[in-house]
Amino acid sequence: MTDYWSMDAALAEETLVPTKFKYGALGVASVLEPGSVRNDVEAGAKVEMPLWLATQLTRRGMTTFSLPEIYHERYRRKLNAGAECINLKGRAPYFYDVGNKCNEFLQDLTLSAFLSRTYATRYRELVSKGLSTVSGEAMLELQSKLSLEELAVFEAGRDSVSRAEMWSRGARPRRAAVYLPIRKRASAGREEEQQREARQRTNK
Amino acid sequence: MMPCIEKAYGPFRANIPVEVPLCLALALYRRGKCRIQAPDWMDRERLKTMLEEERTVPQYFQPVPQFYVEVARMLFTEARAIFGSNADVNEVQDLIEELKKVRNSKILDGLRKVSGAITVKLNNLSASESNKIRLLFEHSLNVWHQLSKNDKQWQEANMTGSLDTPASM
Repeated sequence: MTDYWSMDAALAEETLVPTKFKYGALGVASVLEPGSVRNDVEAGAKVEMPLWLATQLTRRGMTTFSLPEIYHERYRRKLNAGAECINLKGRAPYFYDVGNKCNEFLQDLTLSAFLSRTYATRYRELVSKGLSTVSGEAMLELQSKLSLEELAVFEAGRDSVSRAEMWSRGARPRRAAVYLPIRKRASAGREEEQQREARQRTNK
Repeated sequence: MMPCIEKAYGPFRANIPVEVPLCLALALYRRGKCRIQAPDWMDRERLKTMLEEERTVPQYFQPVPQFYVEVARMLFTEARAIFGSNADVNEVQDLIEELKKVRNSKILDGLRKVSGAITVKLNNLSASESNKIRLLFEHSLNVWHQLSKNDKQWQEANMTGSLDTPASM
């Protein structure tokens, strides 16, 4: 999240958040909302925009933004009741990162505790399924509902277990074969041709 | 004497046991130059008591040699004959497998109880076992750390009463 070069951090900031404009803005409405009829955003209008834009504008005091829907009371109740069952991948693939980022700005007193609690409940399943061999179907089901941060944890666990298994079977890890495409021949052929042409010219 | 980088091993005399690294022992064994004595923790009785204690005491792990999984595997694949008859080999192998399984399920149980960025005590974990859980555990501790740190940062700022609100940052 804090890493500037992290691809996931950049993608996490693409998440749309509901934003309220304090001042009007000219000519951006159709960019922010492709279906809009007018070109300008009026003061007080509610628009969804990516997190990276919302934070920057809020820092300058031009907008205010609120939490995305997944962190609202309704979903919180659901997640508190059964965090394992909620499909985060479809609703909020960067559940924790976005939550963290919003927390920095909105300073929600309960958000951090809520996120840790959610992770703690979901983590149990990650451990029991990630560190043992489960059937492909169960794995697919789990993979389809984990948020991307959780998926990284899960894959890391699976990877280390499968490596340990491979070692105990006595096999070596498959090495990714990288063959550079050979371009030399084409250019060499061209050079030969040029040389031949040059020779012919001198012969003439 | 056999001088190596670490130290000199030997002198090698017929029928006198000498302690050498496993790789050297296996190399000599392959050429038929030596007989390997099984390490004393691989004794059948000791393994049995170890397994029993591992099962009965769920709170902590029994001390095992750090590389017990690796050493056991190498000895079983390369030098089965040193344990005696075939039945003996199988018994010791089964005991070690069982030990591995019991410890593994204990580790999983322990990890499932963790809920937050706290220090976790995992004493007497062998190298391969800690390697197995390292990636997953490290990642999830990181997630927890981020979640809790993030909260503290601005709460502390609020408490000290500084005017460092995000809007002016």
